[in-house]
Amino acid sequence: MNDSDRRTRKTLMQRTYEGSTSASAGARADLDTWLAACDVVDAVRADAALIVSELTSNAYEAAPGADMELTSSLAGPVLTIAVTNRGGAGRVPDRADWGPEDLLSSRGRGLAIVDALSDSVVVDESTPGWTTVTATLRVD
Amino acid sequence: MTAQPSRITVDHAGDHSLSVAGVVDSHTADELLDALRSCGTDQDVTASLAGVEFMDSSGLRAVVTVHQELDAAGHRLVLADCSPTVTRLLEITGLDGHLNVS
Repeated sequence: MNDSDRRTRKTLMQRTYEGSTSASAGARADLDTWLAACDVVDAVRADAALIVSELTSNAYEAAPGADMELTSSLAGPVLTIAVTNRGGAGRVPDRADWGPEDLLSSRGRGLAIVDALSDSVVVDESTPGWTTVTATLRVD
Repeated sequence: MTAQPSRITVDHAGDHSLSVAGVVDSHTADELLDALRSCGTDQDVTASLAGVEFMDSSGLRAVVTVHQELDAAGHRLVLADCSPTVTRLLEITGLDGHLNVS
């Protein structure tokens, strides 16, 4: 892939996982395989693995047993990772707010890690009963 | 594609020292918690994390929980030989300044 292709490419991946504690491993593996095929560098792939792990763990905690959907797209240098689940997302803590004690609470705090690794995190609860959390970051 | 479920292995080097390898996520975090707690709270506990290939906040919760339990008992949980992925996680969360990392 040359530089011009890299700037203009747009690709998409979509997967569904059963709601279990194994969903995170599946999502990390699928996302990493796809990002490697897109020539995304190792450091970004490592961050993406952590992001998708937190999003899917959170989705599982919000609605154990319910399917969750992972949608990821790469548009030029901008990577989005979105996980949709039933139920709520938990609060996205302010970065200045969170500390070690936050990690002890049972859910939602993984979003602090997602927030730290992403340029933006958007929680969409506009469809009643469903939550989509979308993290956006640059891969260059 | 179906990914293998996450797995960890725990080797006890002594009553108060263990090394952990593998993937610590929501599937395996309870195993890590149990392993750390099995060392008791009557002495410092050292956990070598050199073989940890991946850890997310689920694993971190186990570590912080046992850190606090040992702290309350007047002892320390020492995280030794942290792998790059663990080091990065501790930096992102700012926990490197709160936990005992050697």
